[in-house]
Amino acid sequence: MTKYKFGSRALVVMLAAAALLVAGSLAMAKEAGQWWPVKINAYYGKYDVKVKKPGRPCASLDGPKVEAWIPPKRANKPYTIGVSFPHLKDPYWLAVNYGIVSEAKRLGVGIKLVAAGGYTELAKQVNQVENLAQQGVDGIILGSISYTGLDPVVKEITAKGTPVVEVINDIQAPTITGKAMVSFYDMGFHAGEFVMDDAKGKKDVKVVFLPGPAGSGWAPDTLDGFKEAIKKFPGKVNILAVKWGDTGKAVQLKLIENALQTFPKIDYLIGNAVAADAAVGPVAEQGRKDVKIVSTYIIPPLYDKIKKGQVAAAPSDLTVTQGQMAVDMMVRILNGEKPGKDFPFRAGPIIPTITKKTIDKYPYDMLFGPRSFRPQFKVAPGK
Amino acid sequence: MDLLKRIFVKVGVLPFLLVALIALFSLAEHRFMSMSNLLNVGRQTTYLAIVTAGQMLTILCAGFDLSVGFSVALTSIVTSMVMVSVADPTTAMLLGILAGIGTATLVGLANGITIAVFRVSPFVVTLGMLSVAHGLALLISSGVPIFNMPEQLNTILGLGRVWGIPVPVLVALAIVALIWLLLSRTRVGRYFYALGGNREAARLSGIAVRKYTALAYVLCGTLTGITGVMLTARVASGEPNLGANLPLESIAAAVIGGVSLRGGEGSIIGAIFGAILIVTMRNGMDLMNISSYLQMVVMGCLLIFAVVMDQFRLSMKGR
Repeated sequence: MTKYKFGSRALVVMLAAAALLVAGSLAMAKEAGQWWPVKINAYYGKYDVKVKKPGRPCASLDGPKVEAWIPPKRANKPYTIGVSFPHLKDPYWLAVNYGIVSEAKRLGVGIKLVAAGGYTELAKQVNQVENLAQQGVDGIILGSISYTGLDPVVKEITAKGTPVVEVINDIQAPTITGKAMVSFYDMGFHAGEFVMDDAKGKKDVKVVFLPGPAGSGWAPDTLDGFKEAIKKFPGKVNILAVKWGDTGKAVQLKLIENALQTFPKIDYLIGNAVAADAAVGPVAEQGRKDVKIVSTYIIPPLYDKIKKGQVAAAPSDLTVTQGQMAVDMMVRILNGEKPGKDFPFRAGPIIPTITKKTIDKYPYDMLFGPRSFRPQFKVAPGK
Repeated sequence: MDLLKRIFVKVGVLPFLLVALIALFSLAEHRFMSMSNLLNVGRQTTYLAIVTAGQMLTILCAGFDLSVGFSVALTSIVTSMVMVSVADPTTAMLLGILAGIGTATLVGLANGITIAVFRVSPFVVTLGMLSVAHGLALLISSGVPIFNMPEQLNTILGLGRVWGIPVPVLVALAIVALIWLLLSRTRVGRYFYALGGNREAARLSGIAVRKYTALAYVLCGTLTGITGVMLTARVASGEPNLGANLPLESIAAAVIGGVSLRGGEGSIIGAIFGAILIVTMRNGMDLMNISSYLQMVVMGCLLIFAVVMDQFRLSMKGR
């Protein structure tokens, strides 16, 4: 009896201690910058490019499967990873830069990053990727300028046994080792879902859509995704106009001003983040209370505008997380794990839609990294 | 010391710069001098080198050609459109290459006629043509890259090797040799120098100034077309934004190589070494992992330094 009593007390004490320990370690991990687990769409299986359409995940892969992303425990060796970006001159790629750099530091791997200088610099990016390979990096993380233009250089590098993981942008490259990305089709779909939800009960909804640059790898996908989402709307969605244009603020501003002049009644002005950012001014100035602004993705200037309710909603592709996942993938590959089998061949965080109601769940740092972060081209490998 | 001075006065600052850089890079990064990196640099140089050869011809005639950038893009789109529409790979490649080079030559012809016959400033004409070429490339392709090209295009013209030397390097060497012959061994070459040096004097001595000015732009167009085809092979797809930085880089390469922007002076060998210098700088700085931002600053300073040294050299020569 006494024995039993003692046993039960010991058990309670032990349980309490264990609970404290778990809570403590969780709190400690949080302090150390734990960003996982993150819910992701995962694709397993073999990547066969012949059954693939741009903007959509490869049809030969199994998925999407919703699961939690857990980073590798450690890097078996202090690897050095080469990183090639299209450019590093706006907050979007700066956030990816932060994701990659912070995760590399956490895992103790080195980073050597190059930026080509813009989406017209394909030839330069090919040179830079070759130069990274010359430096004998263990693997390369690639944010490619073109869907197909880097296929040969990826083929050359992977043939020599150096893995290449694509981040953010999609790439055809039949020999690519893994992909960490979300599709902009899904981003447009989420924007569409928000509109459907927000316009519940209305019979007729008038929309002006500003996707971004015609012929880019992502803007047409947002429009396709949006159109797919609104198919389920019981009322009528009337797309008054689709206005293409480069994502410079001056270009978008002109398109918006002209659209506001042309259409006396617009329910939703939907478009790329630069357009959403630029639209706030003219919409307020002209007292257009009818117009709600929705973005297809989020950039830092939109954060405060959503908080103030000037922009109604923006899905986030969690670029910081994508950068972190790309480093995780590369470390797993270099540790000897097999993509498509031991972990997803392709994975991307599940897209949240940021609105005035939900924004407090998504702190600024989580979406874009700390405000004080400056571009970083180099991280020394740890011991 | 006296010897160094004589070399400097004769060929300019470029050889000194190149030797200093190669020494610096090999000390800082042992991989720089590895055979595989040297072949890598060789291949990366060829594209800029071929355009620079064409650009140099127009500069010799006291002009320049800004349209080379998107002329390369237009060539890329035309070449790949033709190639994907013909079934047999060999025929597809031949037709595609001819169509691409032909298109760029036509762009050059349009430039040449407008500049020579209507005597409009090359700056305005080629700037306008830059926009026309880019617009056409986007129109034809809808801004989307064209893929599913014949495999051989990339395996032969992009990655192929003959006697261990990359095919693009061989193509560039052949072109440089031809342009060298043209400039130093033929009457046409002499005329280019003459009409760039003093247009009026050239006209008075009976040179058909208009014809040869136009010819310089046509040749530049053809060489741009060859670059477009070679770059298309390198990336194995038709790209509507290919080569956007080539106009300024090729002018910079020629000027660093001692070709005078006032016309009538410079050598093809110098211009090619200018291109080699630019690509070597980029490669070395990439290998040393110098920030991409800082690289832009360094490249700009280098261009200014080279031109200042060139002025200095001319004043020494005059003494």
